[in-house]
Amino acid sequence: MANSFTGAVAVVQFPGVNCEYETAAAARAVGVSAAIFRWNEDPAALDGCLGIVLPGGFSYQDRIRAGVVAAKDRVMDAVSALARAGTPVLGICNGAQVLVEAGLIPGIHWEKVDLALAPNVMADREGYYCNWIYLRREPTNCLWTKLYGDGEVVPVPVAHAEGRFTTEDAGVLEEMKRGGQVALRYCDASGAVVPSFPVNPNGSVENIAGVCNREGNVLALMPHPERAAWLRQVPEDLGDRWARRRRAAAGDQAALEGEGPGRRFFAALGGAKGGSR
Amino acid sequence: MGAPLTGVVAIRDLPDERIAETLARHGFNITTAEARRVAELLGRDPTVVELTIFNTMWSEHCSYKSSRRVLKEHLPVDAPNVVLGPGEDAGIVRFAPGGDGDWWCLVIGHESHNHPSQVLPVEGASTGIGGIVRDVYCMGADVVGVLDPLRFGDPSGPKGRQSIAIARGVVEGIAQYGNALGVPNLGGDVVFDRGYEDNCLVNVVAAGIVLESRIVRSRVPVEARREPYVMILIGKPTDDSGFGGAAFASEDLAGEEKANRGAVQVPDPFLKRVLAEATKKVMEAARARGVAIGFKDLGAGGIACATSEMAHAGGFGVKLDLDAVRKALGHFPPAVVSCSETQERYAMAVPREFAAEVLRIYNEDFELPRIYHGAGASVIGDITLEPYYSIETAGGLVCSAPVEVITTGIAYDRKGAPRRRRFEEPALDPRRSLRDDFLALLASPNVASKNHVFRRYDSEVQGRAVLRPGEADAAVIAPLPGRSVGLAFAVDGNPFYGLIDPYEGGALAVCESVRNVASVGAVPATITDCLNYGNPEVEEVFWEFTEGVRGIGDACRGIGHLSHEGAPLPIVSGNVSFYNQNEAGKPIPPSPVVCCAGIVEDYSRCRSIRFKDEGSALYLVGEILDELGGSEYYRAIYGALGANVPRSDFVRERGLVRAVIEMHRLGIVRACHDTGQGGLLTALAEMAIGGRGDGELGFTLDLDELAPLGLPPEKLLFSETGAFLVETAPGIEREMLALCARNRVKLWRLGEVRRASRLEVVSRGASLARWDLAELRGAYLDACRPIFGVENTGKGA
Amino acid sequence: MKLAVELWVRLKVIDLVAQTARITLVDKLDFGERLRGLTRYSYWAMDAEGETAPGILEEIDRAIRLDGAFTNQNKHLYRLSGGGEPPRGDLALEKDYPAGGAPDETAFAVDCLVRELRPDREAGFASRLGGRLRGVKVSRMKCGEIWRITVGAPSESAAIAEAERMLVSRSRREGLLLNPHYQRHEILGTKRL
Repeated sequence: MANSFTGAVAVVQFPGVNCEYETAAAARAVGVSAAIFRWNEDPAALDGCLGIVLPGGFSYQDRIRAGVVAAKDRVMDAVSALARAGTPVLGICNGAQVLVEAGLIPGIHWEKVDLALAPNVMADREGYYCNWIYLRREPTNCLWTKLYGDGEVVPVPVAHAEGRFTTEDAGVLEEMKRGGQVALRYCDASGAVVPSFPVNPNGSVENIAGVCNREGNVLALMPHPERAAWLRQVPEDLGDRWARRRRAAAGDQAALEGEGPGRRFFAALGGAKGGSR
Repeated sequence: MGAPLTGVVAIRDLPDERIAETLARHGFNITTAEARRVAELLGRDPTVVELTIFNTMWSEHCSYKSSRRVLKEHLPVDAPNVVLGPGEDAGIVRFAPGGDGDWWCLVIGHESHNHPSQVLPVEGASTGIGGIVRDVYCMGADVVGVLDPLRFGDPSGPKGRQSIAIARGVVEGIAQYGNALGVPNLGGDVVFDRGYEDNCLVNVVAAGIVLESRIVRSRVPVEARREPYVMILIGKPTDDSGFGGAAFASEDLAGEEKANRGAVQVPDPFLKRVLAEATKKVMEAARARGVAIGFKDLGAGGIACATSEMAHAGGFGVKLDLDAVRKALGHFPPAVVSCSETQERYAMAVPREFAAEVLRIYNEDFELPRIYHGAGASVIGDITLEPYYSIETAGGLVCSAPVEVITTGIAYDRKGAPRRRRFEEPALDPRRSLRDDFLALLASPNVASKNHVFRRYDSEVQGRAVLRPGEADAAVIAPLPGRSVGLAFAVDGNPFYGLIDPYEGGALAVCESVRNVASVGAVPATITDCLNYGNPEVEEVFWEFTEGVRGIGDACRGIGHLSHEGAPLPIVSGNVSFYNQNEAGKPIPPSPVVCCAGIVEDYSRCRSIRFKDEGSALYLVGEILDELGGSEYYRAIYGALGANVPRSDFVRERGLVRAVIEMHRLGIVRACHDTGQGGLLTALAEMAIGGRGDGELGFTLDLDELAPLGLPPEKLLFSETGAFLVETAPGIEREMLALCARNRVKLWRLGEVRRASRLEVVSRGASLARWDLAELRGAYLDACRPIFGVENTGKGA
Repeated sequence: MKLAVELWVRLKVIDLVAQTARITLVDKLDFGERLRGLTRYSYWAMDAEGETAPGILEEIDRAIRLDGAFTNQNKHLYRLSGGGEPPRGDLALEKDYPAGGAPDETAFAVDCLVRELRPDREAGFASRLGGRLRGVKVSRMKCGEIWRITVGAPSESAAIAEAERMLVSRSRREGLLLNPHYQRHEILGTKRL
């Protein structure tokens, strides 16, 4: 039964996550192998893995607070140790909530909880919101966004009820910005960072959509790049170059099976080596 | 046999009044005559457990006792693509080759959860989704989507506040369940009308995919003749929370709704997700060891109904030990444990040899007992060769009868009598402003954008989305990674047509859903239905029901199967919901709701409804007749229902969908939208606005082009005769004409899509009305915001 | 008149959230020996203005029972109180203290209110509730979740300190029940058991 993840991407399946399969598929689409790691398997199997992805969903039913129960799980001892040693770690949506609650993000102080992913604040309601938004790649040394250009606009979907990055510690926010840890911001189709809904879909401070650690190998990302890893997944009616490409590919299935805007998050692993950068 | 029977209820020797008292004391809904029939079948007085089983099995919900005969007479259930028709938990059709002679199959189920949702909207709707996805999971399938046709009271009617609260609660319940489970929402429809203010409708459809060779049947497999098999119960600990729910679903909601609250179940999508993952591993292990298993979800009637039906379907018996059932805290009598509707449970028949591995996967690998208090998998009995059904407890035998007795059906011959009502067309008022009227129509909650609902649902999870709810007439997914095959889904059912003519209500629901699926280029593969009506004991209601079913059946045969000449469009799953009425017994409008699933050869040709390119040609495919009866225009502008309901014409319908599918195959479609509710002008506006509300291209409609139809402007613009608007590249009119002639449908070239952010209607050189896209957008996008926009309370978890 | 009203709501069935919290505190955060009990409530406090104290409670009670405000009768128990009036509802708070425990050790139940740092949200609830009440005005709404944490400790102040260690997530290995970057807590009361 025991899997080995040497040279492969491990997608961690906490009870209640629900994006593990498409996340593994998005990793495979860039030519790396990927497998599911059930939360209570022996964490030693993760040694030597190419990268770790904490996928989206509702780990432990969001009991107490999204991500916090998984953050205390035994497997996170191993994830934390591997992250410290430089293994690439990506938390998507619920996975981002786990990384924040585990103190791996922003990671300015080791395993200290310096941020929250708080309930969404929208124009006229609260709660769950699912839609396509645009991300702007910020100047950063983040491993996961290294294949995107500075200022590049990337459409991807969000789907969450608690995605508002916030902190009570102004110093932390300053240090994150200074250290190039604000990897991605919500923006409009032209790349303008407009602070109001719906460009900022959850009221996140300074439109922050993704935060990496100082070393750049760990990223907490609220939107779902695995749902934008194929051109087929891009809605025709969006207003940017990806949607134009999508429309131009109508009738060409091979083109639609090609790269989507979110794929380069995973492609970044192509150049990464297991255990270090 | 052996042990003595305990809990026997005297029936046989009692007079009717005393039996009625006994039944009432136990809270049973079966009639005195039915109770006597139970005793007759058993050849003795029944036990409480047995009466409880029959009380559930003979409810309208489980037995189809009023509807079965009508369904059998009218609905076609077989076609060459059908693997499994109605009868088990979900229906199955093939949709793509799966290699080595195997086939990929679509598994689809359609249910209602109306009464519980009226009482407790969040839990009621959640449980509806939970129940229908379980029906699909238990066939061995991966669930790839859910759809939810909803009907609520008028938000601006006298009970508007309550109707809005119910609508919000239902949407919240659907969102909570589906989002957490990780199943994308593929849309649905929402209709508001006063007729639903005391009885909302929450219909749910779930779709899954499975290889034909991996379908798991809801029966004890034949292999149990060769080696010993056991019955395993999996999931949530059994409690009394859902006790009596099946009987509840078929009762009318008279009096204090809250009195019935104990009957509503508490669903749990988290546990369901973990169960689904663990079950996947069990199925893998079974395949690896070449072991045959039977698997069924527990719904109405709980353990007793599921296990007896599995045994009956396989020709076996079962001997259950009720004390081995995992129970929640509290003391529950045997009848409750046997028949409770506790959610998130399955029964599985496996070889005794394999049982330990099954228990290990659920209880240890996936730690069910640890992550959910009291949950887990346990062996609760043996499969027996003798077809005999018994349930034992430490206190004695509580049920003991041949399996075929337990599963005996019941049927009634109900009578129908036509409802006589006169309908009249309103007189059109030439002084009215087309400009203002159209803005009012677009802002009617039945026409306006439902994005406020869709954004609460996860439509992206699983990564299969091609077209999402609101982007086109049908949602499309690419179910098989890397392959071109797509699946399209749409639901329909317009209650206002059925009010005028219940036959057309049924027939047009099929036509409209078929058109929606064809609109993205999909070939209709199967229909499912949910038949929502009032009290079948009322002759006029039963007539409405019979007419609706007749209409559905005629449409399925009349349009036929486009991939299998001569075969009907098969109905592989369905549900009947009766007793939808208010306290005074006034029934809801006749509400047959239909889902059509279609197959797309190449999803890359599926397009959104939004105008794509300046200079494109826009065509009307089909025709427009004087058919505004039940239209949104009459209702919203004249407050009238009208009389001239659209008349189904299956030959025309077949030609229309063939023509449109052919256009998609040729790759000439840039955008396509059917003209349904709100008519031609609404469809045009929707193409200009686009599903996301940010369209930038406009159109000028010259009614002179449609002059040969001989209708006044209002009727041309707002008739609900089914037709299509198709945007294509310019300069292919000749091909379009030839294609339509081949399919014997009419074609009208309406003009060119323009880079002008407005919509205009002209006639004889004069402008009749003109709108900026911004104001259309405002009316269309904002109308439902007050209904769904604001969160309701800060209610505790 | 103006009346300070309090509403406590608890699940009738097993609270999986509290249970998971307890397992996590005991197994993952090593509070095993000290944690005696953990119960979770939803909580609202507000100023309600109306004719008489019984009338105010009656109207809010009506909204709770018949309008489905705050609770779901199928799932919840509640206790509505204000002024010196007899409390309404079916939740007996005093019976919610855990029984047993080592006789030689003192234990305290600490009631901790956890709120979001967003006063506008509470004001929104107040105005929406106000819209559902006849003749009663609501202001100064305060709402959140109460964790009744029962711990073995030598003194009240030690018990509060221990409860706060369980409450506030400071790092991966410290604290669980609230994230201090969007939530705040206050101790509503303690009781020696």
